Amino acid sequence: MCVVAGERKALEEVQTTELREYHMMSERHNALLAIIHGCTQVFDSLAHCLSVSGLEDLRGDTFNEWLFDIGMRKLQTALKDINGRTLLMLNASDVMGIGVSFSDAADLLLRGYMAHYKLSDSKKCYPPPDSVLSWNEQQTSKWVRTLGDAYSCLVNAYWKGAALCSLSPPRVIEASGGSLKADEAVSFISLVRQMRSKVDGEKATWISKWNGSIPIDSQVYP
Amino acid sequence: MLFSYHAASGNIALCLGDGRVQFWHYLTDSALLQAPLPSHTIAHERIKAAQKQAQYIQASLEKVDGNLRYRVTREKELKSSISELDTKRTHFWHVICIIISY
Repeated sequence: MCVVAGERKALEEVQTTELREYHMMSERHNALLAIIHGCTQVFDSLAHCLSVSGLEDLRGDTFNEWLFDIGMRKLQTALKDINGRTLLMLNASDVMGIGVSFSDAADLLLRGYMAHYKLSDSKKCYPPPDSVLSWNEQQTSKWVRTLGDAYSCLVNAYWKGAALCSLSPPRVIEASGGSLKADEAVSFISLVRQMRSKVDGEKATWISKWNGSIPIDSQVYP
Repeated sequence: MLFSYHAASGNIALCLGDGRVQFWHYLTDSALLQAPLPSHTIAHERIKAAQKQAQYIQASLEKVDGNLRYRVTREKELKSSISELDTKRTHFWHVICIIISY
């Protein structure tokens, strides 16, 4: 009994505030390592899903991490009820129906298309450089300006490349503030198509054909 | 220029001459130990915060001096010894109880 009491007293003397703080730090370090391990597992799962089945099996955590990867985390709230499988079946209008802007919807579908069909080496799924899909708003406006007065009402539509390539007649009429008629909107879309085949005709087929008004799983190009 | 430091949280506010305000976070050992563990919903942000804290703690743990290292070892030995003695004592009383019951 005396031996135990002696040992306990010695233990009390050893256990200073400094030692307790050391243990707290060690425990916290272990907890942090566990968090890091957990996160790594989420990333591994995301990479595995994307490499095996594209967007098909992205759900919950992995879908949100993918949104983060492609720089579209701001859409997380709007897309809270959407997973990878659902996204494959949506077009730009459907995505806009859940509160996303036309430009973001087109961008999301383009990156989704590239991720699903493994068309990018980067996690960010940047549009192919030097393609119309990679145009920013200024480049798009500049091109629309070259079409002359007939389409000057679309110069400030703030479309990026993906949006320009996802237009439907109603979307063009809406952007013109009603000043364009249906046949003019159709003509404008034809001009976009001609310009795309001129600029991107030599590149992989999908680059000049991709269209955000068609769901991802309905457009496969050789 | 105005400077304000809140020791408990480690927050520092710096009011610059042109009216801009900059916020800094100075991580102290005690502030870090009291702060909640990273729980960001996005794993990319969670891992970034956890790695930052883990690196800081790792550096602090590596700086531990010989005296504290000795006490860590000594504490381990004492805990093990006490546990062993407690087991022996329990066993001893168990044997005594059996003898008495006969």
